[in-house]
Amino acid sequence: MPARRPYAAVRELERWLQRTAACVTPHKVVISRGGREPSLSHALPHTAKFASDPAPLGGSGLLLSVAHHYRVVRAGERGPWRVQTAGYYYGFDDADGREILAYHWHPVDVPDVPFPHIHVGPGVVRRESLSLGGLSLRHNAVRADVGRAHLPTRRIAFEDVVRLAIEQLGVEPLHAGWDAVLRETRSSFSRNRTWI
Amino acid sequence: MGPGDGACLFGFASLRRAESRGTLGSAIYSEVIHVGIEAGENGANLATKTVSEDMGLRELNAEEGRALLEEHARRYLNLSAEEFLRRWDAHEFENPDRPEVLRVAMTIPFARS
Repeated sequence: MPARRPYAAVRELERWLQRTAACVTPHKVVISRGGREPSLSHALPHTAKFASDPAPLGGSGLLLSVAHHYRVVRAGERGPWRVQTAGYYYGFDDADGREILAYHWHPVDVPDVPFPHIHVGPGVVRRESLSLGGLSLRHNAVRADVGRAHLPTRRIAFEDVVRLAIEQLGVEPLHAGWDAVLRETRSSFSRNRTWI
Repeated sequence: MGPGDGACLFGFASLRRAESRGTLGSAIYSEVIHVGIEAGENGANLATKTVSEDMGLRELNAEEGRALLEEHARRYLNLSAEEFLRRWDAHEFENPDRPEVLRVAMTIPFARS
């Protein structure tokens, strides 16, 4: 959402992130130092993530890891301030801490892989299957090529990840209004969010 | 569970007990928040209102940011934050997009901003 001051633009981001996360976890999101100030052109992006990461999700045994990179930029010399998404990491772990899948977009951190993608982690293999094979939990039983692959995706909204958790991965929402919240924030995403 | 069920919800009582508030600079925060407490017939609106009362996110200071990076580097790579940053800056990670590396890398702005 465009704003007259950088602080106000970041408030919109804060509101969006915390409302979306609060559909599935009570854990608070924190931001990096200076995260409400304008971004300098060559500086690292600001970051938001759970204070305690990953955050356990009720009813599923899953944990959610979130890191959202953003920049506070101005449209033109006198234009409104906006928050621009500069990268993300949204991942699900199982109760043993094994990553199941993770949505990545990190054009700055790892420029060799500039496109948004998903990783399939060792957690897609059930721990019982490892036990049957006499393998430890540290063993990665995913096909090596798939395990290394960056499977292309479109840019993923955090709301889509939370909705996936609730609708398809068995996570219990924390309040009855989760669907309305995700619809509202997702709609705002489509209208106002910008990407580098 | 639907809006008419009149409640929520997973672990609400314990969440409420666990809530703690504090201030850091101008940011008001709590480590956990409670939402949808009395989600009745208009659950969405109530949930929205409850959450919006506490929207300011806590901004970590330099010391807290370094501690966060240290914790991540040790947990995922068994490295100190200092060693992680040295290897990251020197491009010594063979596959920097590995989840355990990237999870730590995404935390760098907390220590360097």
